Amino acid sequence: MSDATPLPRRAAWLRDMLRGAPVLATLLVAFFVIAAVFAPWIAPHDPSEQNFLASLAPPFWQEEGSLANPLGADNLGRDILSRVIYGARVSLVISLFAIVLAGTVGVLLGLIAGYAGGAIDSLVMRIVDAFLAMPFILMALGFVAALGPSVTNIIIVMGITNWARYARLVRGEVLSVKNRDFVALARVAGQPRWRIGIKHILPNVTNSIIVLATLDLGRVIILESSLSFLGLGVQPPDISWGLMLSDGRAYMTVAWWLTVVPGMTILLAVLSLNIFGDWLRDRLDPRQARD
Amino acid sequence: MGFYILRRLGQTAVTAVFVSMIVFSLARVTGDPTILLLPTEATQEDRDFFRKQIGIDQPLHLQYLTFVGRVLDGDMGQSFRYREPALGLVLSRLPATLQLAFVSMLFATLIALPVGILAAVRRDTWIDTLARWFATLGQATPTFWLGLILMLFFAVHLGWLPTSGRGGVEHIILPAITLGWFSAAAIARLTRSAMLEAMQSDFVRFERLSGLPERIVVLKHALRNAAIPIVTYMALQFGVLLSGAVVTETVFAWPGVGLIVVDAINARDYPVVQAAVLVTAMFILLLNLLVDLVYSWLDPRIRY
Repeated sequence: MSDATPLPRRAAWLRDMLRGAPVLATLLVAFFVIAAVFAPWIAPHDPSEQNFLASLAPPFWQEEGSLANPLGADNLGRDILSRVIYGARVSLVISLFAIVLAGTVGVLLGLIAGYAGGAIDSLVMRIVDAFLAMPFILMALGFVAALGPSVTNIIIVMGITNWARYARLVRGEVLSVKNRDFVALARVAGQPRWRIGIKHILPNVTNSIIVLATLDLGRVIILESSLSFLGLGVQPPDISWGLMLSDGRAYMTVAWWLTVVPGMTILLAVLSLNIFGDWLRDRLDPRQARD
Repeated sequence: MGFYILRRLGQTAVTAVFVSMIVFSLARVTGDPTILLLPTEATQEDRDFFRKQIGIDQPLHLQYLTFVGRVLDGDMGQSFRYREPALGLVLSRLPATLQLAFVSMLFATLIALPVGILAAVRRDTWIDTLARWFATLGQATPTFWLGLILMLFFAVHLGWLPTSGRGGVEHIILPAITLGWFSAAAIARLTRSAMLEAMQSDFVRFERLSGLPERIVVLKHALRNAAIPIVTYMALQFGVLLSGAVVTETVFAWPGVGLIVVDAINARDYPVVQAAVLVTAMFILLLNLLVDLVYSWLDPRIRY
């Protein structure tokens, strides 16, 4: 067990669990993406528009609720549905860029470590161990506090704190394909190392990377919302689900929807991403699927 | 065996060096501390003098060596805010965090083991489906939100439990459930798959064929076979609990390391942040080392 934390085994047993769930989850993921991309056309209100007449208006199914603010309004009378829709933008942008950054760094270092072997491999793997041993949220908090909270910095910090698992995954895969015949043949044919790495080894690890990245999206969304909740993530006037929750906290006893709606949104987004990721793993990466 | 232990110790030492570098860099990326620590009207000479005083006029590698030397002496600097040694401050809060993590682990285990075992034994029944849903939902629930909802329901509405602080048993129930929830889901998931694997092993099949009652086959033989991965995973989850405690402690004002870190971050009290990150990371590193050594002792076939 020299590998610090094993990959969470979001097991393949979700497969038989709900035959329809992956479909539903995929639809939900698509729904969130559409909401994020087309937010200005979908949202019923400007998310920052204050309307004091609607202050703390409840969701439509409650008495005194109305369809003007279907999911209610916050203390400043801002429409919660619109804010949730715009919040999807921030969550999606942050998690996508963060994972692209973490993935690029991790994949490159993993390729180098696995392919070079020896001292370079040991060195890279010890750095990977160090990053995996770091208390995740604390490290992210520390870096955000140091760099200052902004969307760009959050992306950088998530990249810094997340690359190690990609490096470990890719390095393992490289080791397992490195000595296979097709790689040996390419070497005999005189192809340069970097070319073998990119043309022959990388395609063999792509599926595992895609699966890890999909499952990571949910993790990063939770992490981002945790940072925002602690006041060290997305800053107003930008909108984030975690920030909405944090703002709604003071009104928890009088207006539950300020905390319940963004919380449920995070839960649904992460849940559908995880189910989608599990399904993808069964398709693309059967070796990692476990019963 | 001896060689394996030595190698593993060596690896941990190297990893610890990298951890210290990360922690060191935490303070360095903050930019010029004189902007933060000196009054705005300070002159250029004042600033240069101050830089010299705290040693940041030195080249980076010398600064790092000084940092490591101090850390090995147990000195992580003074808290800007409390005018106390940062390390002492963090260590004084560690018991509260450890207590919370232990109780959370206890909660997680009490839920996860029965759920995981039952799901494996009653595979593909409604019990199994329910267990899977529990695991899937548990791993998608944001901790801070769960904490708020539990607080709203059990502390505010029903008034059964206190909303925050540390005190008697009733104070730890909600924070422990909040923090342990994710781990309960994760451990249940692993227990199920470890049990399924164990129950399909030739050894357990043989036991079953030899006419032992199913209860004994499951609880005594299969569980024992599945125990190693489950216990290992639990130890690793303990590290997750320690670092995840930040959020739970903030929600419930639990006076542990996490709470002081969030305070320190808001006050730009970097020595305390560094000390907390270093202490927690070293704790997790040692835990991982211990898990590996125990693992290889339990199962001598395992060598990485």
